[in-house]
Amino acid sequence: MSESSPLLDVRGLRCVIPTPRGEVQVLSGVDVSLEKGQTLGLVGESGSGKSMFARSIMGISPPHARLEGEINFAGQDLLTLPKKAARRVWGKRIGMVFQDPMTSLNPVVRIGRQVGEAAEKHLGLSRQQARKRAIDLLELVGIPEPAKRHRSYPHEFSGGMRQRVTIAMALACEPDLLIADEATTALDVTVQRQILDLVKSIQTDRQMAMILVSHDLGVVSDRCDDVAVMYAGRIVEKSPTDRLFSDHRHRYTEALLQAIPRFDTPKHSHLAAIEGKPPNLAALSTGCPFAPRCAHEIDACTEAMPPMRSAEDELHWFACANPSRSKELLS
Amino acid sequence: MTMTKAENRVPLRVVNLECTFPTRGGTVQAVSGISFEVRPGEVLALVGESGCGKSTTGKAIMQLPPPTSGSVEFEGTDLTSVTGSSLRDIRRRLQIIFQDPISALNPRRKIKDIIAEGLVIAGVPKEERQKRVEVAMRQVGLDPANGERRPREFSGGQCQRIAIARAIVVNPTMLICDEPVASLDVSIQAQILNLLEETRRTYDLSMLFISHDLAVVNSISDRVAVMYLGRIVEIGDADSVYRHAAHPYTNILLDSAPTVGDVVRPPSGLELKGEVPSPLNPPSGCRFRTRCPRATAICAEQEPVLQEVRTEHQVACHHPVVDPDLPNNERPHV
Ligand SMILES: Nc1ncnc2c1ncn2[C@@H]1O[C@H](COP(=O)(O)OP(=O)(O)OP(=O)(O)O)[C@@H](O)[C@H]1O
Ligand SMILES: Nc1ncnc2c1ncn2[C@@H]1O[C@H](COP(=O)(O)OP(=O)(O)OP(=O)(O)O)[C@@H](O)[C@H]1O
Ligand code: SF4
Ligand SMILES: [Mg+2]
Ligand SMILES: [Mg+2]
Repeated sequence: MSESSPLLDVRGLRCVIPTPRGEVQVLSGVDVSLEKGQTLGLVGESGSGKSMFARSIMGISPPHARLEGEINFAGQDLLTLPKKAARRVWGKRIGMVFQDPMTSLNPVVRIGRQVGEAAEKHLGLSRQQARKRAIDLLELVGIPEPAKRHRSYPHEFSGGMRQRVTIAMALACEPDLLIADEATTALDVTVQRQILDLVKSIQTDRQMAMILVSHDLGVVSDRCDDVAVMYAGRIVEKSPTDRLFSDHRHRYTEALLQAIPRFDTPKHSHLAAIEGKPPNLAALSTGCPFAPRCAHEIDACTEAMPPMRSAEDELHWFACANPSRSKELLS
Repeated sequence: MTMTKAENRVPLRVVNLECTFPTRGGTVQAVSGISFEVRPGEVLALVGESGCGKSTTGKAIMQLPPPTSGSVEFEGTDLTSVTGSSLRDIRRRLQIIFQDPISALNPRRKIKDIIAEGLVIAGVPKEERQKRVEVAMRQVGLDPANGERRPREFSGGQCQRIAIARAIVVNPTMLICDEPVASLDVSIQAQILNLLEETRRTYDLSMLFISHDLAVVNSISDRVAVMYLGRIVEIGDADSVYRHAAHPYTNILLDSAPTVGDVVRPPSGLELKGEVPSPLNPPSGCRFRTRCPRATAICAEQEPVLQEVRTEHQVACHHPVVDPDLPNNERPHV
């Protein structure tokens, strides 16, 4: 791997799932790259493909899913790498945390054992070493009295504490990339803040990269270096975070940002809801998938898929035929 | 100045509401002596984190189940003392939309029958019922032609519309909404918030709006009550509470709320300590003291009571955060 190539470089990723209703185009050519230590936020409506993208990188897409394209991780394409080598990458170098901690936790195994197991398996530690490492990790994620609490079962912990445990598990092998798929969505805001602060400090210490999947634009705006907006299995806009919020171009990004209540929204005001439904992924038409719901649709939108183009520079990309120029409008 | 009847009649007045639940491990103190009122045409929001007693409060107001003690006065009548037909009539005027729309709707019934339930109880004749159900469905943006379908054929957002239709079909004067948008996608969330706002205006409703989402609450409510472990720790005019939060807990909540570049106040710099205490055995004195960065000895000894910090803004704290720059800041003794 050369010095300059990114940690993760996904190119033209497609994911097709055959179903009785036809082939579902879950991902239609996704390009993403991520440097060491950086955080990428992934936002978009329910069903836009955020989890499917995260799962593809982690090698856990549904059994019938057909994946095409490249997922280059540290210079190796995980889609063409022999299964055994790919599994080593998934287990050791990429960690994932899900929304519901119980999907990763075994209810009848003590939490210390569960955290230790990951370390034991991938780092070749002895039982004894693994136990010690588990206690360290539990301390790291802020579980009080870890030397005692590691003997607890998941049901003895609150939701926030369980989520900390799954983070400890994901961190057990010191991954280079952490994927958090709505990992704090179900938690109280104060717990969410503590967990995200914790992950941030670990990232800084270890140069760990992160993909933060969230439907909460606030979380993404506070926590990410870059943001990618997904719609119907595509990335429709991506840019450094501050620019995405202040100078977005894609009309879907614009609509999404206008739909959320903010702390400066006047009381009892009408919110700009996005009417209509996301498209049927089994019968996508040509052109921009957002066109049927877009208030700024022009002929060019439906004639062909608007290509990705750059805004001011190579950092900010969007695929919209009739983009907004929010900055100009404001001045 | 003489008070007119309307001014006199506060839609909802809750006094010393207490709800406990006996469990195997002991008694859960879910709500511990809270008092508040909802004024005519206003939206009062109840905010706070999971388990602080928001839903229990909403349900106790509806007498589902009745509170352990305290009184709930709705349009001048104490609900804890009425029964039978007068309770039924009051129930019509006071409606609740339960948390989690999908499981709150009976999956086996057609949605037109679900929406008509309140009308059946009120003894409205069948033909009129049909008409009113159709009007309510249109009002919430549902096609009356879909009345024959069952809840599972609808999305989360549509189920929330069904729940709203069921509530408004009986012409209530007050609506309790328990986390009406928590489970919904951002774009649907905006649709439902708009619908609630429209409904409130059309029917001139007063509202108790339960939510943990501070940005959502900010957009819809006139006043806010912040709960912590079964108690109200701060209550007042929404702008005042948001801009000049006085309780350490409110400050930390506001600091923690993710924002989209729309900060209206600088961070307080306060940090939570420790773990959430058990509702089986809440801390003495101030219930927040085990997590509070400002706690001192008095906080463990004496329960702080709600006191005015600014006009229309009260806080229950021995060491409130007060902003020295503000002129009408009546600093309570500390
Ligand atoms: N096993 C499957 N078979 C067929 N289609 C599927 C399968 N799993 C997911 N999908 C479809 O793939 C699309 C993308 O789903 P995905 O879970 O990635 O969405 P998401 O963006 O994570 O949404 P959410 O915000 O609700 O988590 C959806 O339209 C979904 O219906
Ligand atoms: N029927 C019950 N039996 C025992 N405990 C209960 C019961 N109902 C509620 N509780 C407890 O009472 C407390 C308050 O619960 P409540 O549902 O009112 O919280 P909430 O503020 O609505 O939380 P959320 O934001 O998660 O909906 C919690 O500790 C809860 O576990
Ligand atoms: S009363 Fe004491 S413990 Fe409670 S919030 Fe105020 S300072 Fe903190
Ligand atoms: Mg998902
Ligand atoms: Mg609740």
